[in-house]
Amino acid sequence: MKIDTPFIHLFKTPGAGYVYDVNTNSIFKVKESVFKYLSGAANEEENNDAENTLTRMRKQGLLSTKRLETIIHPASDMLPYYLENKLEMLTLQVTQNCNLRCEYCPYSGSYINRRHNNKRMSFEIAKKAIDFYLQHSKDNDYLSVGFYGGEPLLEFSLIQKCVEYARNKAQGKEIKFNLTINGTLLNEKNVEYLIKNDFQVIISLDGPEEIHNKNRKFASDGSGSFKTVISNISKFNEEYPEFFGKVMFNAVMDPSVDFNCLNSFFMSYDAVKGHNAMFSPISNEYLADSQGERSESFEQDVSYEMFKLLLFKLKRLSKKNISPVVKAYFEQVRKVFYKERVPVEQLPDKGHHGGPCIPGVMRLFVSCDGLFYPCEKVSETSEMMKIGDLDKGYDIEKVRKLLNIGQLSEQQCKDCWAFRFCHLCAASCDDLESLSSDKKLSRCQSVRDEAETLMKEYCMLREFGYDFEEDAG
Amino acid sequence: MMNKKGDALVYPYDINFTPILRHSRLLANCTITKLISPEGWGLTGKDAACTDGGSDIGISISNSFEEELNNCNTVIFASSERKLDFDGVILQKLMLAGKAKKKVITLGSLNKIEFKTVNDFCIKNEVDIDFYGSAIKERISKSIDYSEDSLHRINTPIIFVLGSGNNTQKFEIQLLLREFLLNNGYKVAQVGSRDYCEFLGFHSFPQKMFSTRINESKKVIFFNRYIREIERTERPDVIIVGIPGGILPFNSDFTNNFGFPAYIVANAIEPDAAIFSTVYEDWSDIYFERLSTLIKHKFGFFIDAFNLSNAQVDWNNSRENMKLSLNILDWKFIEQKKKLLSNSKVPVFNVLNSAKSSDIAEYAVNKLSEEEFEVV
Repeated sequence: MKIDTPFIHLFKTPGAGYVYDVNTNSIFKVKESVFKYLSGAANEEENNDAENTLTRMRKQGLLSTKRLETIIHPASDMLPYYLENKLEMLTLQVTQNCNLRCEYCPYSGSYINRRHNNKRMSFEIAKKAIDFYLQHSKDNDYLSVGFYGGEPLLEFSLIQKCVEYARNKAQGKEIKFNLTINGTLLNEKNVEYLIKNDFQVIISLDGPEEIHNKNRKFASDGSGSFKTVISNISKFNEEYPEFFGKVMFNAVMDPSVDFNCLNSFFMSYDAVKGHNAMFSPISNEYLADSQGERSESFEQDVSYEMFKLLLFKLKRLSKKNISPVVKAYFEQVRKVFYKERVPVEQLPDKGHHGGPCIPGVMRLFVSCDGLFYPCEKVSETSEMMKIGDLDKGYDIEKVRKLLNIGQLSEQQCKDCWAFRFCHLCAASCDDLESLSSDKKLSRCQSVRDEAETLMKEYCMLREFGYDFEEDAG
Repeated sequence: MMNKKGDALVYPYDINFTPILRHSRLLANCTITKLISPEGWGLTGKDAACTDGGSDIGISISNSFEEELNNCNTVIFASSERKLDFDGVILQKLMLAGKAKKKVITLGSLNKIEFKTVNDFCIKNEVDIDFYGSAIKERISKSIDYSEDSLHRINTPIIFVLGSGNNTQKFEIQLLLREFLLNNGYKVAQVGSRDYCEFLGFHSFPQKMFSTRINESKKVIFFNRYIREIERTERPDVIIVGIPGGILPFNSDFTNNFGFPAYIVANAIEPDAAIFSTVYEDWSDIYFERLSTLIKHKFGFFIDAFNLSNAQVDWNNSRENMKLSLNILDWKFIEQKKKLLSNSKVPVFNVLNSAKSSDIAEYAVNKLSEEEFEVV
């Protein structure tokens, strides 16, 4: 888009034509002549018809040509203060070992990352990390400590010591603990402990036996882990229903599997249905080789479930038909385009695309060795992602670089209508020794495609009279 | 009331108490020497100024209540921003202080049961205790007759202190003004925006203003008569009124009480000078211009001076927790930003710059003295 043209994005639903005005962050349904005029496809008659409307729109401050002048994240100026006082969540990598060898695990060898090994976090390092967290979270009302691995329950006694230490140190604030586990090592002792300390637990469970076992296998003999996991879930669900009612499942969706099978499992399997669940694709960040096969019908089946979800929202379909797998999709539409999209007067002079968190503030991932990373999703072999350590603290300049990835693609970002809806972060640009603008730019089109799809869903729901204020559940 | 000056310990210390610490000369009867915060608040070992981001104060925060109890003769239980469990924490420490025969002062709000528990303990153990906050009944409010609908004229100059919301340094400004005016020989009457201002020698914002039993019109009349009564009985040279809360909603999720207290006060009395303290953002001069215009139209008076506070709304956190969350930035950062606003038609100050903190007070007082002719 040329810099002297209105900074807008045009799109159509089956029902109407729309203008997304970037400066005001507003979406307008427009008549056909206006749409054609703005897309440069109007004839003389349509031009004349559109004139008055366009004049009125311009008077209201719409159709401005203004772009951002400088790409800089608004938190950049205040980074020292955020890092000193606003650390929200601490994640401790208590071990790099695991009793499973999941095919898609970042540490399995398929990714450019460290491999599973016997390294574990010492209690000394854990204490230092907890102290660091408390000293740097003054302006937060709550504390949250997570335990990660490998498989964190391999270090259950370390977790117990950390919890006790953190509770003593955290007097005066509410502290919550969370844990992501593979579910194979649950037993009476650790379950009772998790209940007593009100842990939020996430259990990795990919679907029914065939699907789960395709990827999630024991290290000892390569056999599938489903029977062990589901037996533990069923047993403890029965013994401690209140606690297990709050357990969340995390399913990694392998696109080569039968989606309907996976979907039906989460809708109807007794021990699992009704629980909150997160569904995420296999990560393609840091892949050593290209992604594996994809089932032809997978995408179609997912799309069909999304369609059913929208019908439910429009009260044309009963809730019992709705897949939990796609529930988050609607929430994304609602959150991004209804709740958080606030109209403004115009773009500021300085800004940055959406996507990056403030590294080391929203969460701090501390490795077994006491090194700092922005989260568990980045590669631990990446020099770019090491943002400090327990001895020296934060490397502010590294953090600033990871925050300002928009500067890698400055000109493109200034001209991108979807910059507010971008979700690219430093992990998307990381080529281990530097941040790569090429790598970042290769993701841009898919970001715009996703944003447009969500925008269209939002507009279409409005066309059908959906009331976003209503919580349809 | 206290009748001897003593070394005082403050618990739990946080940002709410920091303005009092900065202006502790206003405390007639005690010297603050020890500050204790729960370890989980992340303040231990830091200078007291770490709470409000201002210039260093020179007192280090500790987490050892019992140990420091030996080093004081008064314990002040502060009204903290982050509430601690009363039975499990506050009461236990209060009892420790009482049994150690310390003078006890409570600033925090106590409900009826909590008040009775504390009061009974103190009577039984002969603990010398002063209650402030909502535990005490206002003396003046009870005597105000607001049955008639007319407004009385207030002849004493009035300075308003108002702001974007809570924790935007309004109280710091109120204390700063008080200290400045008293040091310059003025007789000051004051109504503060908190509910324990009697601890500092002036009136708290009357509880009646938040009552659901009186309609808004009556509150206007009440407040007018309330100020008139203060004028009549105290015969001050100047009246400072701190208005609690904010003047406008931030957005549809954080409505700030829609600025009702400010609207009621502005209808009840007219200021001769007004200071507005705004949350921090990367504002331009235009923001201050528009804000001035908005306040004039909504409340009927001009703002004479702005304070650029170091409190920035953390929108992500606020939306996630459905509770307004603030980032507290460093005063030096604000000082840099303030320099960029030198062209603002209404001057912008930074009260946390201790080298220049009284500039805003001086400006306000000069404003009051500016009138070329006096209305009689």
